Amino acid sequence: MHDISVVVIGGGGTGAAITYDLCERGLSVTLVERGELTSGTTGRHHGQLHCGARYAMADTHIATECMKESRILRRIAPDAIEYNGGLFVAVTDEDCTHTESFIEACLEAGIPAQSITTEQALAYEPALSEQIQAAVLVPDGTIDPWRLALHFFAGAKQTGRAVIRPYAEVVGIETGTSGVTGVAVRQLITGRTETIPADIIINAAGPWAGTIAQLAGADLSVSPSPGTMLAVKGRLTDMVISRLHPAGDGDIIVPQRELTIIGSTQWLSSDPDIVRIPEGDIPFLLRAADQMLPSFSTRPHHMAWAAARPLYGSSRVTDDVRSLSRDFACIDHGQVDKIRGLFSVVGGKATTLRAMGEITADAVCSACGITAPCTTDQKRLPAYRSFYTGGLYGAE
Amino acid sequence: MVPNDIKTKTKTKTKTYDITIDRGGSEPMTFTLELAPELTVLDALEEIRYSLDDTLLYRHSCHHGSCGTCACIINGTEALACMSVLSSLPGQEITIRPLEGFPVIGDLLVDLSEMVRLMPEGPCLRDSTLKKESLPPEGVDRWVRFENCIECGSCMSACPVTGPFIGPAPLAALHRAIEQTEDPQELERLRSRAYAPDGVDGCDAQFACSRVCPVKVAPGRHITQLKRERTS
Ligand SMILES: Cc1cc2nc3c(=O)[nH]c(=O)nc-3n(C[C@H](O)[C@H](O)[C@H](O)COP(=O)(O)OP(=O)(O)OC[C@H]3O[C@@H](n4cnc5c(N)ncnc54)[C@H](O)[C@@H]3O)c2cc1C
Ligand code: SF4
Ligand code: FES
Repeated sequence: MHDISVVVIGGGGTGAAITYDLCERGLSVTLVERGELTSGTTGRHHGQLHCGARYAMADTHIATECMKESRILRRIAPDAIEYNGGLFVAVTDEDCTHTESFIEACLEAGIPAQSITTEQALAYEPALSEQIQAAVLVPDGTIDPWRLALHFFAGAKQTGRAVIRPYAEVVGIETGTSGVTGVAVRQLITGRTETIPADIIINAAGPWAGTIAQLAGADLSVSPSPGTMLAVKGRLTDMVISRLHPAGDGDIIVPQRELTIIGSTQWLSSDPDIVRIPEGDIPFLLRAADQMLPSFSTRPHHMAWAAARPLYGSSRVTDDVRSLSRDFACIDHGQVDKIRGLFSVVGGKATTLRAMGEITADAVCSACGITAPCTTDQKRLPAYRSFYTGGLYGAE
Repeated sequence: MVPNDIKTKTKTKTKTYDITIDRGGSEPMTFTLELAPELTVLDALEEIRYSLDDTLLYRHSCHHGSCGTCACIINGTEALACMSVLSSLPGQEITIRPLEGFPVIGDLLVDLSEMVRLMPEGPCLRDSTLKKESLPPEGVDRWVRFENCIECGSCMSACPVTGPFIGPAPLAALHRAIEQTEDPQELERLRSRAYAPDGVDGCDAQFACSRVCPVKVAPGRHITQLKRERTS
């Protein structure tokens, strides 16, 4: 057990995984989230368990990490994953020209991509367009975003060292001569504002991370970059269906329960609080989906929604920044802004939440001289429903 | 990709909505706001929180009817706020109450722990409902999907039973678990829970649960089946 108090800001998947990892290493952690848990980007993402194939052509490192993490998640959180595999399908002649380089890139990243006949693809997924010209089998799956995060919250809670506080909004970060000293939190349930003492503060506020950093006087350039998703009623496939072409908009279809969901698009916005769907996104997504699953647009529409990615645009991505994975950054503000004890975590994917937890916990432990190793890739997480034991909303 | 907030503005004409949050006990609060009718009750709550009352307590996560956090009573009926499109509601006066039968933490925020604790630990996955000739590829054991129930609490709130009764959602989940388990001891444990005095016998067969369930779990049917399977 360690005598260091840690506050994690942000109750999305990233905050959940960081809290779980640090608690497993013996630290005591308080997590504060201004709304319900996962009410930011995490609850609203597309729900793809990325094996990494989507990124293989652009970035082998990210692809490798997704493959590794998706395997681990299937082992440690099987209840939150519909694992049925995925298919990349070539729709046009141009798509076909990518088949070989795509498979090569996947294999290089350790992703067991396998070319199959279009007949076999249609046997797996009869709703596919008969026009498809090539198909590649990959180990993708579907995530339940809320329940995957709950698994991690439950794991943290089970250690007995985590305090999880939803409806607690960070309104200030207090610093002294030797670094951070506490977090000022407005408790929405009681209406009181109080200071939680902290030796270490981890900013895991996703697209809001820039605003949180500002509270400490740190400069972190994060732009919210939302994307739209559209669900139709009815489960058209079991496998995740992706367009075989360099990653773009509207090229992934994820089934989930009795829904089929196409996503996504990407634009820049100034405000992650309220994101409205741009005009044109829905017809675009319907057209894109129909190219792979022709019956998609004929299904009754279920809902369209949007979520914001944090786009990290630091002008200072130099040695100062511990860019520990190319997909996300863990910034030690003690190094870059002389604010000791403050860390920011920006970027990543729901699929790689555990790895972000591990890398951030490594950074925190090394800053505090703690040598406990990470064990989160080994242990199966407790049932997500066990999160509900022991009281919620500060009632423990 | 260009910064483009204009793109995010919808062209549809807005309407004036009076949204009343009735928490019971204290005075109901009414908020008047301009909203596009294609938005949802959850969007309205978000607007209130960000522009009128930043202390408003409500739950939400997925915004598309999959997580189950946002259920409340909208104009008298249990519904998911994120799936209640404003234009589908009659008129422009909307009253929202927290679910019945759960501890209210504040405003629309209720604590569903008790219901979730009454549910069996699993299973969370079931065979896919898609009919297919083909077996799944190597590495995929069987075509699977998540169970229907999203643990939203709507059925518990709508259930008129007042006596000792664990409620429709736990019983539906118990029935699903009974249907799936292959372990005789587990089966015995699940059955004794379902047939305990506060189990199926508590049910009054009013079927309010099935009427409000947003994802068609039909808990009432599961309970009827459990009653029928008592002696098997
Ligand atoms: C359109 C889209 C589709 C995606 N699809 C996928 C996918 O299919 N698969 C995949 O693996 N990944 C996907 N992602 C990525 C994934 O959603 C994110 O990587 C992940 O959810 C980020 O989680 P997070 O915890 O870092 O951020 P968030 O979930 O946003 O968490 C940050 C939290 O901080 C809280 N917060 C903000 N301000 C404060 C404050 N002042 N005080 C306290 N708390 C505060 C917020 O309320 C929020 O809950 C997608 C992302 C987008 C945008
Ligand atoms: S059975 Fe239906 S209404 Fe009841 S908790 Fe589950 S999803 Fe909600
Ligand atoms: S927010 Fe998930 S069901 Fe409404």
